[in-house]
Amino acid sequence: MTEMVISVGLGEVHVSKDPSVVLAAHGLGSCIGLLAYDPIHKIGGLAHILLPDSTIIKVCDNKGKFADTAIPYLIELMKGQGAIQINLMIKIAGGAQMFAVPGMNSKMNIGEKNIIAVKRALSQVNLKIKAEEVGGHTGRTVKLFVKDGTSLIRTAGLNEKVF
Amino acid sequence: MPLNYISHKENQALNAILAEGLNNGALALSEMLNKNIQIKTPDTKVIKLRDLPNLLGGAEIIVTGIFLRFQEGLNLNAFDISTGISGSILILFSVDKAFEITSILLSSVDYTPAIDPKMIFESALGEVGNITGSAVLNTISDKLKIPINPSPPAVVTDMAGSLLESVAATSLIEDNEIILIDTCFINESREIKGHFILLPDSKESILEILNKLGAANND
Repeated sequence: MTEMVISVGLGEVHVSKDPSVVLAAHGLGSCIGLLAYDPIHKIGGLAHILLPDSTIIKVCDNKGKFADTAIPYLIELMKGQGAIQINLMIKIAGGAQMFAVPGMNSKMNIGEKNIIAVKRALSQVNLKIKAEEVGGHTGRTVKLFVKDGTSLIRTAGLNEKVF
Repeated sequence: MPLNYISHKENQALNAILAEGLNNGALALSEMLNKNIQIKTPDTKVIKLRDLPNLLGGAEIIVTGIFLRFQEGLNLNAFDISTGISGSILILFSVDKAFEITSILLSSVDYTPAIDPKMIFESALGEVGNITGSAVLNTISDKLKIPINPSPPAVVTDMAGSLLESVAATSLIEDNEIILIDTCFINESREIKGHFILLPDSKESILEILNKLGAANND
């Protein structure tokens, strides 16, 4: 079977039940790549979340961009494909602080704020995190294989590993 | 492509001031190094930040970035998203070009085993970012007659996507339209290509610069 890699860009959410599809978020920095998988129905989803909170802007026309809106949106899309919410296995990666500028306000650590916001939004919908690779100061790439739910993570200069 | 929310004339004014700022940066670098450094600045482009990784060769390509925040006012301790003029500057080089710059900068420095090579690499590049970024900001600051302060630089080598999205997260501009200048540092026969990226925190930020530029020009 030929694999088809779908690169999920900044602020995008993608759901698939095509077993040939590999969902990927390349080069995550302060963003969070949230992987969701229903192993019974073999449906995978990936959200590439940029910011913690949609209420900072007047009109939110891009649900995938913010933690508080992206997670309900991802679940809705997965249910639309036939997934059951309690089946969902969740993994999160990213939330790094790429630039530690001396003297910069800690409020600028968006990575950390993203991690907190994603965890809060997940607990609000009673979803537990099965695996996480978050924080630190390195970029990451994550992949989710729709056929069996395998997920891989890679940081710069290192080999991919299962996570 | 111009910034779609400002006029053609305003775009030209912005191009002119950024080119002037980068030239001032080259002058400052030349003086510091006592070498002739020039900066070639082709036209300013505006692109969506999400399209930039593709121009660089993919989100996973390893690049070296020099990052600075800037903010209107005199408070150096609060580089936070704020009202008034504020934003981020990112200067990107491929890793080999970043090394080449370091070698030009450090040609008169002798190696001693006490020196941590990574620290030298990062502080030399930080200085390049500091000087070029400050020169651009000072040029804007002088024209507007308001103080604009840069933060100290942060130098990071990692996946292009991870650096760019972390810069995108500092801005509230929808679609994260960035001002991209393909620059080229020239020292004698060596040309070192890089990208100078300016991302204001908000549209208001860039509009305020332009309003004040207009007013300053009419003085």
